[in-house]
Amino acid sequence: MSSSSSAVEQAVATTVKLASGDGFAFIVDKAVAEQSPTIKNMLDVTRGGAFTEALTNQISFPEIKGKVLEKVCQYLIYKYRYAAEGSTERVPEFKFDLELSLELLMAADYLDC
Amino acid sequence: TPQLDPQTQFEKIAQAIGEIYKHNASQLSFEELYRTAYGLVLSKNGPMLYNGVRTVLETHLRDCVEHDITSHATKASADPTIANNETFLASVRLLWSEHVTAMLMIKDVLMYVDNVYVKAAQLAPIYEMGMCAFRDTVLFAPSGSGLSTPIAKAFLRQISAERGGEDVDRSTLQGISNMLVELHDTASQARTVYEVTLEPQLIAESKTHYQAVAAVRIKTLGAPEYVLAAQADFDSEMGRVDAYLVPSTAKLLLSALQDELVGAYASGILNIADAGLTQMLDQRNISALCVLYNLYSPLPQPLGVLRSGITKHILALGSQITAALSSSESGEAKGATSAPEKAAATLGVAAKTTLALRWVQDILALYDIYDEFLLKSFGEGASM
Repeated sequence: MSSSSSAVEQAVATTVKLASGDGFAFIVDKAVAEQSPTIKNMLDVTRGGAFTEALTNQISFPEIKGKVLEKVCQYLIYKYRYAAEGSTERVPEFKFDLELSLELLMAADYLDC
Repeated sequence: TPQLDPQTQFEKIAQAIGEIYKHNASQLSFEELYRTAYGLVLSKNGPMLYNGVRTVLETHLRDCVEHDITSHATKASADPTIANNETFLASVRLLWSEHVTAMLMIKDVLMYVDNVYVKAAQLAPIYEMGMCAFRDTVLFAPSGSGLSTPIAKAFLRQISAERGGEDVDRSTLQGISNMLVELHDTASQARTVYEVTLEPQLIAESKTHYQAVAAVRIKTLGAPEYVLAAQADFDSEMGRVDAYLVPSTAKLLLSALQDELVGAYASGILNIADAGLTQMLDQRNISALCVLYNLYSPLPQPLGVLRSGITKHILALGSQITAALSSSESGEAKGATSAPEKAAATLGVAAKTTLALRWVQDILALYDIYDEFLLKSFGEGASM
């Protein structure tokens, strides 16, 4: 029991919970989440002062809906996976529903990614 | 979701800035503040937000100066002891570093403003705006209560004390230098406040100080002691630059020292009665000559003076050798006249050869001595 709870503790420290306005929550690795400069700043503890989000490892986005946030998370993983490669690997297209476009665009603008 | 009016929204940010300065960021939600700024920019309230933030910063800084710094400034001005200067400068430095920490957080929270509004309106980014606010409120307040002059005065007094052998807190001074170097001059953006205010005063005061020091030393010390003392000063001033000044000052300070300690007294040092260049050469004071050469060689005019001084001395020694031998030659010749002619002639030739050999030997010995100088004191300087 004790080994699994410390493993849970370890997992929590390197991950962050992103919560949407309509009650959904997504847990992603910090390195993935920080592909968004905005989120990176929210979680920053090195500059002499940390905000609530950095201390609790949770960020709530009341204005972003669950299905949009889900797509954002997928995009962050996609960016994390392919951004560092340079241009040697063929990068697959990032697909999303057209109905999501506007909200996704606004979220991208908001999160600077 | 019902939108609050812009003014109320701005209040949220204004209040948050206050909390950030009080180290209470952990009570704040970054997301909420970020979203508030985002909303204000999108609703075309960017100007109100930007100007409002600047006002909040300026008011905060003014309050801090009034509560935390002014009393120390007055004390340091009235009674400039090392401790009072230190307290004053430390209080300025503390305000500065707290301000930098807060600005880093504020700029992150207002990142959307920087990326969208500031770029379009071609204004200074939030962080830079914060730096200008500090400069224009704390250092150069329009009411004339700016601290730039008292800071420079206290700083220079600490240097003066340290030159007099006292201990001062170097890390505070370094903090102040770093602060002045980060802030840019209003008139010419490329130059820092350090370059425009502190550095010129520092150089001017250093010149005055070393002018006086040299004037005393030239009367009381022999050449070896003078050059050693001068070298020690060079070393300690360069140490000072490394410890709490800015690298660009090194060249200016070095030049000032060279002018006042060496250039002004180039011949004077060499001609000190009974303890000048000739004495150093004759006593073969290699280490002192080395120091002398190191001080003179970067400066063309003093180097020329040194070179001609040595040349003159070598010529004088050479003539002495020739004169001594020719007088002993004539002494020998006198002795020869009493002997039979043939013997006299032979003696004369042999004696002349001996004399000639001795002359050559003496000259070679002189050459060796000066070659040693060349090697050890003058670093085989080609110009010598």
